[in-house]
Amino acid sequence: MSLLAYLARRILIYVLVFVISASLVWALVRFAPGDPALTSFLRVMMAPGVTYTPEQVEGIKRQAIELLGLNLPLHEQYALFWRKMLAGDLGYSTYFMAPVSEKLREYLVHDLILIAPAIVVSWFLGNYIGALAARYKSLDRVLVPVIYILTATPYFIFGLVMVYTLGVTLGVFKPIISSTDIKSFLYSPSPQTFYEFMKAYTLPFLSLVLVSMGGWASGMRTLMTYELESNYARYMESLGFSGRKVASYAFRYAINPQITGLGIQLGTVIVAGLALSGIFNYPGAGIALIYAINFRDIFLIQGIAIVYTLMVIIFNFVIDVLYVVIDPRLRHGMMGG
Amino acid sequence: MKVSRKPLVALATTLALTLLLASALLLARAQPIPRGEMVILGGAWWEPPRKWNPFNYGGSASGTVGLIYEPLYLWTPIKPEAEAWTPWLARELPTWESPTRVVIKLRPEAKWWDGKPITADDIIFTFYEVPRKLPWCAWCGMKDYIIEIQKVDDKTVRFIFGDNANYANFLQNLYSAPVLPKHVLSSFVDQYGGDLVDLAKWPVVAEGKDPAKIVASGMYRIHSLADDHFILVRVDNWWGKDVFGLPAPRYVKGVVVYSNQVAANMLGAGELDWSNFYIPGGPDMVKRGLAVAYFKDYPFYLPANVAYLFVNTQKAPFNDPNFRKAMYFAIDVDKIISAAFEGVVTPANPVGLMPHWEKYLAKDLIDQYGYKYDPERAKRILDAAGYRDINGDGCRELPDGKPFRMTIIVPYGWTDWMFAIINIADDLKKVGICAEAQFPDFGLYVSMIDKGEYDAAINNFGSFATPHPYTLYYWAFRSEPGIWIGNHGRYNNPQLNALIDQLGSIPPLPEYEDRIKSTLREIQKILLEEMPALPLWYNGFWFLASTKYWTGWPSQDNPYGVPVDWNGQWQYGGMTVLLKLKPAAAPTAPAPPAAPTPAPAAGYDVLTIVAAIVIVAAVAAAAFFYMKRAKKKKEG
Repeated sequence: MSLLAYLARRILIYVLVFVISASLVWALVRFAPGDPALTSFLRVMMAPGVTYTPEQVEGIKRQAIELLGLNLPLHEQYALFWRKMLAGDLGYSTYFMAPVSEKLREYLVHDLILIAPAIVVSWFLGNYIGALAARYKSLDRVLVPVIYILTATPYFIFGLVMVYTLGVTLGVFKPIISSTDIKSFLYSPSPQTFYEFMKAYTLPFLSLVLVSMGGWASGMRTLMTYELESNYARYMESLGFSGRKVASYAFRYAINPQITGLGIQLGTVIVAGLALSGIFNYPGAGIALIYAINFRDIFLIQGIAIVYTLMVIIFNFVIDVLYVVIDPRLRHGMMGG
Repeated sequence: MKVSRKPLVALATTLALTLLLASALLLARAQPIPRGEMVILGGAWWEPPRKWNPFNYGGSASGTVGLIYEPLYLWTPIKPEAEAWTPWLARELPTWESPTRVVIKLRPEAKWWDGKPITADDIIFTFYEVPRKLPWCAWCGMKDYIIEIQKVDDKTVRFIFGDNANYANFLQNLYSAPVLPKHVLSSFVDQYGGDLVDLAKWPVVAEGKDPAKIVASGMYRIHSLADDHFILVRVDNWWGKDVFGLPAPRYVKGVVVYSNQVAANMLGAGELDWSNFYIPGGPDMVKRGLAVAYFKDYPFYLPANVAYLFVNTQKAPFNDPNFRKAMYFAIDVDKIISAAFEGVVTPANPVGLMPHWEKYLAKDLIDQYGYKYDPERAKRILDAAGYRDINGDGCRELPDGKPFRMTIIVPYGWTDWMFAIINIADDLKKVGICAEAQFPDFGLYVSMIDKGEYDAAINNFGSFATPHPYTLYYWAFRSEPGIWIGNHGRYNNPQLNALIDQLGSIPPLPEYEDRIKSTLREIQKILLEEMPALPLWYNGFWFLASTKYWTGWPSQDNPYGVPVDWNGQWQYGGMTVLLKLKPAAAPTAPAPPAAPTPAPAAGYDVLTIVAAIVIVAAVAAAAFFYMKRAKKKKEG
């Protein structure tokens, strides 16, 4: 099978995955119990002593239903959903009182600021540490327990521990990161805003990086150990190559599964980001999703689920392509040797 | 090929580039707001604070009425009745010429932000014209009973009521309704009418819907808005500065925080000054000196409203007063208070009258009925009423033999209530009523109660303290059933209804005090006999404060107001709190805008971080050299 055919097949599969997952999201949101019209009414008025007649309540409900488009028959809603999405219109968020696409762009940036460096740093550092642990037995003894504790700890527990120790008790960093910290740094950078930003950014960043790093490190350690015991490695050693030389060859083989793992890991990291969003009050998709669910903001729920699913799919596709590029065995296999 | 070095090189280059970029981007110097001039509030905002619409203040951000727009009076339930009313925009207490004619005078100093005085025309506009021109608004129910508002002079009005005067509603609006500027808003009202209450169309009622163009009279105006916070800045020529003085905090910041745990962290770290979140472990924080509460000891919090266990009286067996009474005897409220609330709330009396209505309590009747935790008595009542466990499965059946299971609901995530109903379900099971606690999420909980598709639920949406007990009982038992309206139990007792109506028609004047007392006594008789809904405990005003930056919070030693920033409740004392706050440390000399937070703390932080980096780098270098040496040894 040629390279092009391989890529085309992957694309087709991903498109199918996207269509199914988007439809699932659409259906789940529509058929969940609870009345979006009534809950959006909640947001319109709730204060002690404010009373309404039943007619007023009905009027507001009707207004809300029309705004949300819930008065159309189901298949029309579904068609409208696809038509709008392909045009880039993800609907209107009643929670933010703004179009979903606009808001998601903003929140996506916030998330990427946290996730992207965290993934990069944890992947590089984790693999490097894992490789080191595999090569030097003395270091291994120290690192193994650390690595395994890190990878076994759930992200949110780690986040909570960091917040409590470093954020509250010792007060070194800020226990929350708010939109002002991010915005004031992005829009008017200066040592002052950078300092404030780092004070707030460090804890969520560390929570993501340290736990992910543990995962990469433990995986890399196992893979490297395996490769270092393989025939070609032993042969190289017997030929007199330096330990570093052998390791560099072993590393190239060991890294392959880690690259595939990166695609899968993105999903995990996004979920971890959602959890950490809550702990740090981080203005990312995590917190937006929580608010959206509580407020039955169906367009926002849909939008977040779809955009992030799309993100994972695209990332996985990129990894697929990358994998073919860096692994000559695959390339040759496809070209027919 | 040095593949193993590539990741490290890549990482180093990325870092270097990023740092270069960051430093290259050095543009304007940021102007952070000095922390010592800002008081940070939380616990009242759950969505992006973009809505500041006085016509629909219930759906707008808390502080719309109180900080930006102002009411005629403040009403503080914790003060003795004679001192509870504080004239705010009004000059003195209302003068009742008769039960249907009342005169209110405005303060001579009162003026709008644009310098124009607040006059009788504004009052007539707010209380007479707006309710008639808009299909509805937060106070528009007043049009049902206000026949006319006469202008006596520029600063004096006379309200004239019809025969159906709703005194409870009037009293409530005296401290709840925002007084609006006629010269600014009457053109809006004429042009846009009912659209003005639609928060999607009018998040802010001002020229161009621009928050900076709001014209109001309050102590603070909008400085900046974001998705997760807002900042208000003090109006330095506020009319009240000659009457009340200016509030010390120059900035008020309200934060939107998703979880109570995060709020607790913020409070402990000094990122939050005034918290009205329900913080589990609040008592511990107070005992460890991390925060202060109103009381120094249990219950720590002031009572805010009555938490009722409503039962759906349209379903058997909840339509049987004996069953309901048995439920009351079966529930151990003290256990709930200690287990679910850590002891920070107090038990309610069987008729739901809050402490400030203590004088109306028919203590002799209550003693007669002897309502308390008594599971044996509950069992006796159930046996006598025909609810027996025939098949021996531990659950009583209905008198006609049908099996019976019930569910209790509270919104998911309201952990204190969740634990409470778990305890209630256990208590009921002990007397043979098989109950299960369920936690639908908020949207579902709301719709289940609204449609009447539930068995039992805890609710307190309309039981906050008010000057007139009619408000409470109307909400609890009289209104048309609706989640935002009341009467969740769908109870319909014509005798009780007549009494509640009668209660509402009694003027709140000293000469009618006995009539109020006797009517309330009759009401209590019915409530004790029928127990249509079970008043269990008083939910609290969850108030915790950090004294790191501000002191002067109200307390049992200094009970000048209720420290609550919840929507519609600033008038219980929140506004006074801002007037009485003082900076904790001596204020730093007017710092240039770019000055960092108090120098010693900043120095400590920087040192720690730098030290941490140095240590990490040192360890890494040491490890690297150690490995190099080890390798050389191996190969050498």
